[in-house]
Amino acid sequence: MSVDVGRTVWAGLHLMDRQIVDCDGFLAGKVDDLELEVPDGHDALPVVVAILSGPGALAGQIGGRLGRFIASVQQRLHPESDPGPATIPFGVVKRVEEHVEVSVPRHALQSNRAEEWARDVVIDKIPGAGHAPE
Amino acid sequence: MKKLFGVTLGILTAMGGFVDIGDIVANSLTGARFGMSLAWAVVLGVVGIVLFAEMAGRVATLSTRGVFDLVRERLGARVALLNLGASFFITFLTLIAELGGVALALQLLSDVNYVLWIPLVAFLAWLVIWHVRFEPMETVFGLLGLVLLVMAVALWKLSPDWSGLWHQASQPAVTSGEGHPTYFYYAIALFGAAMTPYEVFFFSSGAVEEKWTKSDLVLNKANVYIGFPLGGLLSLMLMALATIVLLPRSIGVDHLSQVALPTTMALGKVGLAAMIIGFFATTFGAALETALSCGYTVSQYFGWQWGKMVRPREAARFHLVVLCSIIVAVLVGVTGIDPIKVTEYSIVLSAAALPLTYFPILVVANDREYMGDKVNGWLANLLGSVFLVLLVVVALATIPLMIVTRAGS
Repeated sequence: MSVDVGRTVWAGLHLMDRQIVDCDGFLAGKVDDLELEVPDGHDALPVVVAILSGPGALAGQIGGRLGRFIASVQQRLHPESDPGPATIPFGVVKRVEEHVEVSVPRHALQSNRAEEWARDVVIDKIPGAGHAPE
Repeated sequence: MKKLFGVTLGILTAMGGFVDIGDIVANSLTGARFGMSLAWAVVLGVVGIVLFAEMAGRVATLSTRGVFDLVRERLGARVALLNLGASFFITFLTLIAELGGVALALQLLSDVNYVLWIPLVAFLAWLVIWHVRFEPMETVFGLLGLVLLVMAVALWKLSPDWSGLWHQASQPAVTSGEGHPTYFYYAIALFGAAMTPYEVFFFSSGAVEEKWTKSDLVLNKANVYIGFPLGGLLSLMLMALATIVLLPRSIGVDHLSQVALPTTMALGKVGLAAMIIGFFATTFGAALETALSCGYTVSQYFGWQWGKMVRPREAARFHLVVLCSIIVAVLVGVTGIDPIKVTEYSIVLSAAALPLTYFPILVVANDREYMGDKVNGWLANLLGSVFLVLLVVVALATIPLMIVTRAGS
């Protein structure tokens, strides 16, 4: 799989467990897993179509009893009955370097829901949550 | 001139910030039991923390990423999660110990039981984390911790037998009446207190918080190479004072009042007041550092936005972890659990977990993708490798020694 022309990216080495950074420079989760698709045609190679990020995807990487526990918690807390892991379509990936940069703000990502929950339900209720850092 | 001021300020802050409840308890306690014969363990611990904190600071500066982010990247999701579990638990235990330490200092001042102080102290700590910018927060408590330098005056006033102290330190022998396992158990406690993992999580995340760039690497070196050893010197003063005053009178250390006793004897009420201020500043500063480190480690593993460089609402999960850690630490603290005992366990368990923190740092410090031409030199790698072997030996020996000595009793 190539991102820039002539540059090979090893999914395991250069994608997995990398930091995702949004277009405003905010940290937006980790690359917890990848979704591959095998196109039709007998000599076609699998293509990365999406980055999976968040507990739903991480559970599979952890595996075992702990992995199942994480997955069950994620399912219970999610509004949908069988949500599956949050996906980030690979089309929004702008750059793959030491981190994976996406071309959209993090609130546009499915995987940012828990962050928004923590913000809306807890942090915003505390006076001073919006004060500037400098 | 401004640069020199910045460097000096950084050094002084690092010096005051080096000492925390772990160093206070471990150095005083061992001085009272073993004299200066365990000073080598402090020196060894200081060399270790200098070596690895410099690497972690350099890595964080060049990659603008926290240590645990890179731990995850290097070790993978599964192993890094185990690492996170151990590191978080120890940092959390240290947070309880530091909050307890502040409360004990306030008890000395007020005669109000420390348990009652814990919730108030914790609320204040959270308030500082929530409202105060990173740099003033770090500087104020680091500088205020330098009040502990009063110990130097106390030492001079007590006019001890310097050559005797030096002899004990330079030709260490196990004190009569103490077994070898106990001796080495406390050596590990001192080592763990000097190399506590949260110091590296905090220091490296701090480099990112303060937006260090390549030109700040000088600051990194100055803080670590000068500030930390000076902090280690403060630790050794605690040990020396305990050796002179507490050991001959067989006074054990189970409260901060005994730690302050030698200085009080030498300088009276002024000495006691200065020690209480020093205890307060260093433990309160460390409570902030450990609470933030709870948030740093978890957020960096999961890739969440972290840090005080953004608004709290922009790092919501980070602040939620910090808040929850403080709340649970208070709940544990107010059960009346002995802060000094919690401290002892936290530093010994830290020692057992050291390779988990320091191995990935050594690996990333050699990664050209992040470090460019600032990768480790041969000396850093040689010393780093030797230390890693030592850390593994210490880690393996800790739990058996803990059982054999019944935690040093």
